[in-house]
Amino acid sequence: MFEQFVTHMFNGAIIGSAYGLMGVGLTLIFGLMNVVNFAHGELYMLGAFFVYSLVAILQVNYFLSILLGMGGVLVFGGIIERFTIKPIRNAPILMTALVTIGLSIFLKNTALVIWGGVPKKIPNPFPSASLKLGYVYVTQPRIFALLLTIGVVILLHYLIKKTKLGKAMRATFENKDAAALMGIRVDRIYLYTFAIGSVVAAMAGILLGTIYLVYPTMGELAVLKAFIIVIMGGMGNFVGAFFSGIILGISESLGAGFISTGYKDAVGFVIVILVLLFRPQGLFGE
Amino acid sequence: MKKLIVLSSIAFLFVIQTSFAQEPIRVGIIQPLTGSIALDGQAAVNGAKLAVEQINAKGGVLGRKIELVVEDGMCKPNETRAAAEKLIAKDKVPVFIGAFCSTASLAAKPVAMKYGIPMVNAISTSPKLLEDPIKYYFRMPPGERALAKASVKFFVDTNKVKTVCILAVNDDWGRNATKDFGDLFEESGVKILSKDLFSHGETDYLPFITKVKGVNPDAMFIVAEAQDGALLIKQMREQGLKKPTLATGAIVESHFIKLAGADSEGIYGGAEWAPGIQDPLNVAFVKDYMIRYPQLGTPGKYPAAGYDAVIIIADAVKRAGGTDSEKLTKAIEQTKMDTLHGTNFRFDERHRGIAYVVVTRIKDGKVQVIRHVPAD
Amino acid sequence: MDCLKRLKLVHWVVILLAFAAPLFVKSGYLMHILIDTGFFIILVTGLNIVIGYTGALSLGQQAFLGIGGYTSALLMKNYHLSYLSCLTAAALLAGIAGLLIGAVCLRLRSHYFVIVTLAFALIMELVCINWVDLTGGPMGMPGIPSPTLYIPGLVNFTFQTKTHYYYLVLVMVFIGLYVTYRLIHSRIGRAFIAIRENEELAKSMGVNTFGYSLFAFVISSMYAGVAGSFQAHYLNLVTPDMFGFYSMITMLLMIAIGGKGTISGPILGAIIISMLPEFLRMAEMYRLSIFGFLLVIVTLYIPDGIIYKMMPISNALESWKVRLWRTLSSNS
Repeated sequence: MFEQFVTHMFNGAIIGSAYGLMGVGLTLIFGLMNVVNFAHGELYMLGAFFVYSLVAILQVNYFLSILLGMGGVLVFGGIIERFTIKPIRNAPILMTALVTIGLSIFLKNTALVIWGGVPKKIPNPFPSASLKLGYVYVTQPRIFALLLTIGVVILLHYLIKKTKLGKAMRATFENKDAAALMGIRVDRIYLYTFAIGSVVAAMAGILLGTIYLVYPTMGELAVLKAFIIVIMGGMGNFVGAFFSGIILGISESLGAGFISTGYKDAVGFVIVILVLLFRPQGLFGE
Repeated sequence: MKKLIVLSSIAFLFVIQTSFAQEPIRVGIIQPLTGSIALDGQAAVNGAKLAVEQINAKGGVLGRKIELVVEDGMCKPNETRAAAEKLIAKDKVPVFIGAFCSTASLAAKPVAMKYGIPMVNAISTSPKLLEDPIKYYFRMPPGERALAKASVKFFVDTNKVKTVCILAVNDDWGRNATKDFGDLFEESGVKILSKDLFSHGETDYLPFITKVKGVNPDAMFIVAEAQDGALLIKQMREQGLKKPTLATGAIVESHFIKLAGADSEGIYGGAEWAPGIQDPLNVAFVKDYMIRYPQLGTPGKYPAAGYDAVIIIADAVKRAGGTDSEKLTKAIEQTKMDTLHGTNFRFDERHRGIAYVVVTRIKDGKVQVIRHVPAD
Repeated sequence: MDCLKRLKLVHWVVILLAFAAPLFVKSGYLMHILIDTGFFIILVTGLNIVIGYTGALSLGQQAFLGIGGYTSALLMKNYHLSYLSCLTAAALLAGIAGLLIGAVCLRLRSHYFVIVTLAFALIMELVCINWVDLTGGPMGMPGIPSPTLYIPGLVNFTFQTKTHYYYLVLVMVFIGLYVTYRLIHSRIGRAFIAIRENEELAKSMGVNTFGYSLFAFVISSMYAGVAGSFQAHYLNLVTPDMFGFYSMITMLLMIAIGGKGTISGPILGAIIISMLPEFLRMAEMYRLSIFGFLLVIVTLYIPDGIIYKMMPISNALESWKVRLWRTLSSNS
């Protein structure tokens, strides 16, 4: 029984860290920029497909493909921001929701047409044998994902808190007009934030695409969990999002393992409702 | 005078052309062509198309060519019903095939009943479909119980199984299969230690696997399609769960093996059809399919289902002497022919298909047919 | 009924066509589309009260659709109640659900409101799929009886043909539109608009924004309940798909393209979107991509919806009619 519990906790934490990465990307876009980006899951999906195409079809090295794939989504995210988000920056939330839902449908189905509905494996250099630590098994891609996630969270935290760009971002999101008056290129800040958020989503997609499979609808459930994590973490809090991801992962794991498997996805939905009711600033928010 | 000659020659040509261009026999087919099951729906249509091409190449049926009218039902009840209405009211099809998912087929069935147009269901397996009224409805697959009867005892005896854990996709098919196969396991003296369900599209199976490892069964039974099944099997093996495994679902599809890779080795399966069946009709089908669709690889059970639906309908049209719906329905009822799914294929009094089923095992990355027996 | 005076020529033409439709529409398939459109009109008119008039983006309408559908189906199938009772129960239960869920969600700010309404709807979908004893599980429940009208001694009528269903939904549509009309042109409606334009200001002026928002939410959910009940007995089938997000996307498209914040907007949107798949059917696999693309383009470039582009035409027709009337009456 204890063995089961520990295994659930461990597995939940590992998968939770990947959730955390998805949440971190959305923290930038939803938490800071307040854009309800329903297309976030598709940015995640595109990252995975770009890397798949590079590695499986063009035979590019796996790690190089990751960099190139991220670069591709960086550009893509920038284009999306410029043409579809910027025009409605000040419009009511309904508009952003509709536009991003439209984008989501468009990207999902176009991906289906381009790459087909058959799920794909991303060929990777990690050995398939799993490592045994005590009585838990873990595979190398998962460790790689965990390390990368931690790295990204630290990097972003440093970016926001310590760099000039980060300061400009914080200023812009606190008071756009004041920031503009201070000479900050507000348009640029929005563009960069969205692009960085997209890239982080893409990285999550690449890592999870490596661990699991790549298919056009992979972003659907991912985006919902990402929203839940951003809210749990306290909008705009990266470290909060990371730990919320882990909490969600563990909760789902324990819920599915000990209570009921059919309702596994409901765990996250119930959590977000409870958080919003009793602690709307998030578990880690101020 | 000249005008008269020109006019009459045009009229003559017209008459000649129309007397040769006979009305084609329109056969409707509703499958999910978009959405997450698009690939399998498309596969079924591919199989149907192959049959249509082969029949037309031999002169068609009663001198008329078959024309396949394809509609996208998306496996959604509303869309499928609209597609059925369109096929019947607008395209005036005398018969149609559809609709892959049992839920969608359930929505199309009343439309067939209302207009008196026979519906041949090639893939859905839900027992609810065989509830009254069934006059114009025909279900080709024999159902999960038949698959279970053929595969479970064999699996249990071969692997000396005393306890089993079941893991199934959380939809009607998964639940039915859990019940039918579960009953057969118990009849064979096996204790079912747990029954768990997962949502289609689930990626993280570790909680289930951990739970199963905790009770340490002799074997596993899995109900899943390719995508879910591949992830599940991969994670099972990664977590050290290497027990003998019986499965049903997409375990005869080549894309399952491609996805699961070496982890699919050794999995047993119960299915309606597999590409390794050694009778002339099947061997020819596999060969023709791979020539016609070289980029798709070995056909799985969905193309086979689509193919059989067409040849059954073509045969019925021939016996009915035309496309009158009442006569056609009667003719389908009296079907008795060799199909990919079995020699002497026919429909029982509940319009359920009486076919063969296969027990398979995956060896060296290929599906091997171990048993090929009549369903009952 | 002063609303009749407000109707313009354009409206009368549409109403006339709507009532006369079965006379010249012979194709069962086209009738099905018209009935489907009617169903959606009820659904989005309700949703528009929340989205268009109080300005709150609810992504949970499909939950009430499902509740209405399943309630109506279960009552008729298991207890053989009359259709009217089932319909009323469906609306009531959906309304109660709207009350409970709305009370929770409406406390939250706009962004959170969006997500939490979605979360509730998704939970309901999972409950529907997993509570097999009640709902029949993933397969749903087939064999739902058709609606009947039974007045002892007078009428014993079962809705069977498409034409019957068409008129049934048409009556529901008109009742629904009339209720919405009365609501919007009342003090309550003005409160809704005040909340939409500037909630803080409304609150400071003493308007009970929470109460009115909740009221809008409940009314909207009752519309969905009615629509759900209709669909259950029209398709003779209920499935968990009713709780799915796909219908939500359709509803959003209809409101966005048609035009929120007016009564005619969603109707126009429903008609356009219902007919659209038929034109797009040829494009087969690109159909959904086109859907998504359209949604983006319309939101960016025609944010108020197509109904506003129609206004000049409608007004022109109206002034033409007035001039014609004057000429005719002055000639007598």
